[in-house]
Amino acid sequence: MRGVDVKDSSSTETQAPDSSAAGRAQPGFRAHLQGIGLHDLVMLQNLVRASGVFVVLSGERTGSLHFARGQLLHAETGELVGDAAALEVLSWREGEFINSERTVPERTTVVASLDALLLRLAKDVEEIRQSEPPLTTATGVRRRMEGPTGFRTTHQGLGMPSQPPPMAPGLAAAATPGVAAVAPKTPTRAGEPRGGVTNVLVAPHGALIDGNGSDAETLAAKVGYMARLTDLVGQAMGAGEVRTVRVRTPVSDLTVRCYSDGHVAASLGPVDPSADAPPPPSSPPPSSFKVS
Amino acid sequence: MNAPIDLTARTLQSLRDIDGVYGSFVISATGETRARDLPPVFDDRTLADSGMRIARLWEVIAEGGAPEYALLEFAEYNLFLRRVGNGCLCVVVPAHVNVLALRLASKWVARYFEPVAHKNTFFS
Repeated sequence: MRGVDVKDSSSTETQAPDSSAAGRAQPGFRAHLQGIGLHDLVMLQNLVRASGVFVVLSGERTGSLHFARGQLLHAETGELVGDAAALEVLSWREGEFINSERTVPERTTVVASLDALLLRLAKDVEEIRQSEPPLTTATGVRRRMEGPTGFRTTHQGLGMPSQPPPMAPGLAAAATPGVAAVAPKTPTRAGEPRGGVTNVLVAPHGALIDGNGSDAETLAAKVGYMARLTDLVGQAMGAGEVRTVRVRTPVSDLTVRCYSDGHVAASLGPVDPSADAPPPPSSPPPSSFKVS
Repeated sequence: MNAPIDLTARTLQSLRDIDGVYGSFVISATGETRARDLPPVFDDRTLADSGMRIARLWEVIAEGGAPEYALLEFAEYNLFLRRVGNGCLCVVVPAHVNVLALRLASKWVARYFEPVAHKNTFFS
């Protein structure tokens, strides 16, 4: 594993500290920003003629970008170095951008200018966008059924390995994507007691944690099984994680909420006509990086 | 005797008149696919695997009272379920679908399948 010194309080381990940088205070502000694109961040380094090593974490991927007086001199990720590594890292859409205390090495592996790299990425993205059919649910299902595709083909001809390189496990632990979809928090109690409504909170293994209203235990057993079957349906159809199951009978509404940790909360009560109202359409989150 | 295929397909296609509907299929009480109007990416195996589970799920849902419909909300899309004959109509829809319109349209589709279910062996 490469030694990368990341001053990051969330990281559980620090590898190979650079003694030359230890204890050296950086003048100026330390930023904690969120929701900024990686391209903007590297352009900022270019603009202010920054020198330093920036570690980029995106999910389980790790890379580093080395700047000297605003110029990107060296990049590496996995087995890639140079232009190919820079293109790969700059194609990541979300993650963390961390100012490492490592000193800038002498070597220069990135030949292309930052502008040229960003331009190429923009062209690649545009070409992919034009060559792909519109992303319908059907195509999304097919892609998911085919599994992960590894590296994108946008960097072919630049020494891209056929298999994804091994990641640095130590740094993977520190990765905290900036704008990940926020999973709803699992409640600790069943819903508030109300007349004619039964609420239950069910543990992942099916036990009733909390409940109120009539026959909560029967409802708990039922919704636990429903949640499991719905999860299997979602897996079979490539529909992704199950969120909610709503059941309408002539006299009642049953709402079952499934949480990513396996807990299930359900509420059975009189018909709620507002449940038929369509939710507002959601837009995909923009690419963004958290800066430390 | 089997159901008239063209009319069955056309009946399911009518659900696509609702904005966002990707397609639909009908399963028997045991989960076998009886009719379909879906993009080819939903292949036979996908439908066989999911049909069996949907049938079991529908049985659990229907326990203690016949539901009008059920809406399964997933991360990628939703699945609207409604009883038709002895089986179940499954409509693949986006999250922002108009459920009210879907309820009405699926009622019409269910009506088409009811006589088919009773007079023929569509769901047997």
